[in-house]
Amino acid sequence: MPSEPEATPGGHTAGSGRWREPRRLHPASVLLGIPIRQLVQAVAFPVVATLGAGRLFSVAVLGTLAVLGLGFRVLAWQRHTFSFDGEVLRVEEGVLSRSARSLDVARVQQVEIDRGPVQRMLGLAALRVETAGSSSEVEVDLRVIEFDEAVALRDAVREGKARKVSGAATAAQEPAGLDASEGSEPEVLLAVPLRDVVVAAVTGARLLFFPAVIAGGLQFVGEMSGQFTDDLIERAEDVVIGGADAMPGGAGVTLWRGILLGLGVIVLAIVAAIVVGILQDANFRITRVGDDLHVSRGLLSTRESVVPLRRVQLVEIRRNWLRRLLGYATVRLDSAGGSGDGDRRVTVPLLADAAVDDLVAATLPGVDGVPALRSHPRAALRRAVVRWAGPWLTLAVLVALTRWIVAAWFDLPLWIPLAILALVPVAGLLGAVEYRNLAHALTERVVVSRRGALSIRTGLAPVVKVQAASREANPFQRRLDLVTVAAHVAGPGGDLVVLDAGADDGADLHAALVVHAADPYPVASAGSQPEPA
Amino acid sequence: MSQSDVPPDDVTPSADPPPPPPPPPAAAPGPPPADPAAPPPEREPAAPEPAPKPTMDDRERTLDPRLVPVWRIGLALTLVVPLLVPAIAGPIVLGWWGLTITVAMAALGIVWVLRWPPARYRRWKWRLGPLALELHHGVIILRQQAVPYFRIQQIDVTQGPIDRMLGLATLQVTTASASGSASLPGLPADDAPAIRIELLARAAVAVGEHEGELRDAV
Repeated sequence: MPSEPEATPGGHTAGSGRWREPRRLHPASVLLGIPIRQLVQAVAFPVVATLGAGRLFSVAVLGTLAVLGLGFRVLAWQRHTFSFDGEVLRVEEGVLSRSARSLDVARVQQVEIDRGPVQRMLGLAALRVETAGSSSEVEVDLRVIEFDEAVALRDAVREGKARKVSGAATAAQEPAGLDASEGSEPEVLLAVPLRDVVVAAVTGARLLFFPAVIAGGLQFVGEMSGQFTDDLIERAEDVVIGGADAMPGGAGVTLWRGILLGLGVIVLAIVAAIVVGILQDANFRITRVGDDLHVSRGLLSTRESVVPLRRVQLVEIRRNWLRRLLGYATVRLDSAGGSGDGDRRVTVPLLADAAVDDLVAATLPGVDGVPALRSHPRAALRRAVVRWAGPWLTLAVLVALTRWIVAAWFDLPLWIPLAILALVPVAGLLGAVEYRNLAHALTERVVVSRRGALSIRTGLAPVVKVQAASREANPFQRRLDLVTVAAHVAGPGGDLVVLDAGADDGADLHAALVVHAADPYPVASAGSQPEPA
Repeated sequence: MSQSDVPPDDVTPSADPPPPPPPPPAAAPGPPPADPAAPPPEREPAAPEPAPKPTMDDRERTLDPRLVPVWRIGLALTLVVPLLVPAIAGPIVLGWWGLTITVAMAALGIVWVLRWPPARYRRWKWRLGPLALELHHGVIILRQQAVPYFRIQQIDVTQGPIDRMLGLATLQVTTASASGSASLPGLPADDAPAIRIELLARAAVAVGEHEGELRDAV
């Protein structure tokens, strides 16, 4: 049940007046506002520290800490206030060291409303506002306020921004410019059906979720009680590996056990991936409201992100080999929101290939879809093969050398360098595959780059968002007349890198990018080229 | 290397319209360099060009040659500090073998310290292009960076301890993209403020040419 991204029914003028006076968060934030990680740390350390001393002592210490912590949270809640006057969002917080932030609405990159299951039961939500910045933490994080208030505040921020933009354009600071952006109806651009969410879960990195949890858990358990797990693992090893030799008659049984164990892990991994995928991405939907993209998703915990269209810095289409076979892609939309938390970025879990162009057109105004790309010169093939196979060849040679050197002391098995050597042609083949995928394009609106061997990434950056350009060439590239060009883009999405373009082509691209970056009109009116001879 | 800000003011040119930023010339939406009355430089003696108008030409420039010893010292320190213990322990533990390795490594290190910084210095060129600050550098990997004036968010002047002894400074030009930011080392400390003012002026002009939303670089 995604919350409907509608404008507030109430009057707007009353709306922005509502936060003129500093307000506190919802009282529930005393408990619900505690970040999980802090809580775990706060509990885990005293528990571990007092493990040796008696149980009563542990309870007493924990109780004292809980009372102190609660008192601190109450104080923190009292001090944490926010206000919004239609232009500037102000937040004051801190018990011992206080901080006061003011955030101009015109700088907002992304706004999010998060709700966990408890918050949804109580009608609460967390509101996050992100600006462009290099710090990894969220600029404004109102952890628990009422859901209605969060939505209203978000809309007020949007209106304030619209008013500001239109005000800057027409010098008239009256709220008359409001209607222009308010008149547009919400339009659903994309809704991902549950089936696709499941397919996305079992074809992507989420498959590693369960093994990762198991590995992490084992490590944790191992640290907690080393000897016991060591014994356990040793016994397991005896059964699984040494079993065949240890009990000549029972070889079949242990083999079957091993296969069953493996199958069990695979099934569990798939189930875990599906569960996590559905929890995070069910009801995924992108709606366009005015000039904003509303992205909502999640089953129990819901998250609704608002990314203004003109804040989209980079659109990246990713296809791993499995999804390519099935005809699917995932698409990531990056704003310059400071926190690069992967979980917080807007990623369309799964999209049929045919729908990709439509989504690109909807998220990058003025772009019809992925434009026709230019492939790179033949010399890049050689470079790609060497880039992939070279490290393995070097490693094989080094290992062989080491084997020869240490031969006097001990015998390094010959199969190790040979196995590495066998990887060389495989890597070379992958290099050839990558060469086929290398391509780039520059239109009046976007710069596009495609790369990758098994997992193909196509990045599109609006040229008005390119902050700077650079190109570089190492000696190998120079010999082959190749160059790597980077369009530097703000935000956690990273740069758009055009790998191994032809030297002349790359120089032209670099020069054009500089012109675009220096003059953000869609049609560049620069008379002079910035490039020296 | 430790850096200490020489000027306490990190001035943000107005790449965004709303908050009137510290440097006055950038805020004026009309003719950009309108009021020369507002004095941007806080330090009177060091600034040879106080007028907030772009005045420097676009010829290709090199760095200050005194940068070579600075790089040499830095490189020598980064080589010596981690390698000192193995270099001494090697001969003691391994005997002649260790001594040979130590001597060979020392010779290699000395050649590196002697040859690398001058080569790097010779490759370093920068220029105030018509649209962007352009940097060309790199010995093995040749790199050409361009930072358009319009995208400049912040300019810092920093000096390390050796820089301060020799009267050098580094200009750190930041855009909204961390990787798209540039650092221009080896400027005479006396010139650095002037170059910074020049860059700020060019940034202000570039921003002033645009209206409304387009002024917002991010």
